Amino acid sequence: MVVSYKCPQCGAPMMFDPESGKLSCDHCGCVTTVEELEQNPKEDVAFTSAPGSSLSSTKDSFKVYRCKNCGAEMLTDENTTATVCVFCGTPGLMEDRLSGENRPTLVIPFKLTRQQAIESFREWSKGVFLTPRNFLAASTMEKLTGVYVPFWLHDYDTHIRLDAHCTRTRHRRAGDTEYIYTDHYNVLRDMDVAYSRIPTDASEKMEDSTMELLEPYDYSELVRFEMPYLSGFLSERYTYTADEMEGRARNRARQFAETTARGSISGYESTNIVNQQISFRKLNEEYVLLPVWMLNYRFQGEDHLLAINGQTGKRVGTLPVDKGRARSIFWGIGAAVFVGASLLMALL
Amino acid sequence: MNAKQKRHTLAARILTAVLILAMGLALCGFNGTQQKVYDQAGLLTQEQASALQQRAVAAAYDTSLDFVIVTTNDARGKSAMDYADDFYDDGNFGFEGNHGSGVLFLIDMDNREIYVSTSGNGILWITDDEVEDILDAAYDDVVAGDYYDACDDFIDAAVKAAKGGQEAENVTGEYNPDKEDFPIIDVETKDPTFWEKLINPAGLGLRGVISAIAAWISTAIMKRRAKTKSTVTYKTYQHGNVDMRDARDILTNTTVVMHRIERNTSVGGGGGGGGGHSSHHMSSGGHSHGGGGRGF
Repeated sequence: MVVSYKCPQCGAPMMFDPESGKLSCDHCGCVTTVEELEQNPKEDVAFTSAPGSSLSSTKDSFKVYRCKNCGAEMLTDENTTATVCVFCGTPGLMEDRLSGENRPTLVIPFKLTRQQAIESFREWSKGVFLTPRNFLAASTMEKLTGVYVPFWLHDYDTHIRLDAHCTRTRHRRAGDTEYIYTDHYNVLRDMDVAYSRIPTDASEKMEDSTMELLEPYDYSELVRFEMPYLSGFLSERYTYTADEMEGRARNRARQFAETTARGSISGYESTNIVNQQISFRKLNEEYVLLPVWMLNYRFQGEDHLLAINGQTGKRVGTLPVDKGRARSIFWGIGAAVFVGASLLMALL
Repeated sequence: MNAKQKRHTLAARILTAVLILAMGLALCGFNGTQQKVYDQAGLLTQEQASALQQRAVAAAYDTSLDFVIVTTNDARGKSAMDYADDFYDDGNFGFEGNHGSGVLFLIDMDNREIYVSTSGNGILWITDDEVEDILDAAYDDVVAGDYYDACDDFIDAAVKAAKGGQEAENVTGEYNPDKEDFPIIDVETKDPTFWEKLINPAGLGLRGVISAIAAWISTAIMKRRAKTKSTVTYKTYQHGNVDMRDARDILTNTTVVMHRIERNTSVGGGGGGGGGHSSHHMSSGGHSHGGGGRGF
């Protein structure tokens, strides 16, 4: 069943507002907290299944729904958990895909509003004079979507042992002779380091490298998952299980532990790791949703995925560079400096 | 491409065209087709004269000094110095244009004298001592009657003096009653104008390189800002402190290398050449010249 939350006063759908952290009604301005809404849920069927619809669904995994509010049809895939009607903006939450083993334990609610996200792009491209001129246009920014991305958070205890051969040299001079002493050391480090909540992005659709750059999230703002947080945003359920992401998480833990262990060897001129042993103990995994503002921008035949951390505001991706603008700026600066240097030479 | 972008590229093209034009102008102050060898005394064959003409033009491009060679049987009652100076002034020679920098070699069969006259930067770059060197190089040839060799040796010696060797640290001259000053002022008024300096070929490459580097750096910075970096470190997800269970640094052995230190007994080489001295005087045309001559 696809549901939405109804305003207790007027019955219009309510949306989560990142600024206040509460749900508000666009229609009458009524505000309720997530807890209030969960205790006394005013749910309503938002979308109904539309079998035999005009939209052809070639795959079984796609399903067509009809918005109860405006009658528009929309296509969802098997992993969609939250969506909005593209025509009237009515939010729809797939309750059955957010319960049981699919229910996230924790969520960081959106903190950055759409307006702040747009402002952030504007500020970013200000320092880069090479972005295409229509980049900040309203038509581009319309494509900006707020997505709750599924993540696994992994906890590990690591045990790392390093054996290294290190050297240090000393110099001594006696008369016309110089002695260079090289001291050889056997160095051992044996340590335990714990890592908590190493995130791995559990959605097939999201690029791992982009998602890693969005980190870190501030975990102190993780709250118990409740459906109303998704109201008005898009979300998906995990496509990779925690076990499938295990290798990736371990790899990150290994890198962190290695850096820590190698960093503890200092004061030598050369360090050569002879032997390294590392073991992991898996402690815990949590299924969480983390907020991301995403913008897919196509420019000069290239797709650019730009993202902003929906909590901290950290920006990720590569701004598109307009080659024509880059060229004119290059020549402009070149010519200005040339003329400047010539004037300087002539005046001196 | 929208209209604004078009205007941008157009502006870039105009700037490029202006730059190329400026470089072109800067390089064509010197007239390489002008006659440089005036064998009025008929001391040279046709082939020798044209060979010297080519050498003189090449030397001019090499040194930024105009090279002129003159022979005469009739000095019109003038001294070799006056004849040489006036010939230079009246012939509109000079690397930068009329009365610019240059060096003139005169074989005066009337006064039985050879004379080297310098102008503009030539006064500075070819010092009195170097004028003597040039005269030394040409003198024996003239005495022996090998006039072509004399001119050839003059070009070699003058190029050497202009490009390397000493540069005059001071220039002295006669008091000029008309201007109530020493003619050194006359040299200064000969300084290239603002516009000449602006299109001065010297350092053109340097300026070009500086501009290219500046432009490259600024666009690189912009492109770099368009990218984002990772802000996760190895400590971000560390929980609690590192529990160091064992840490040992055990000295196992020491190896020794020994070598003799060679005493540095050599003393630094000779210093570079110091500045020389150039004297100069006024020609009848009111232009200053340096140089010197020798009878044969």
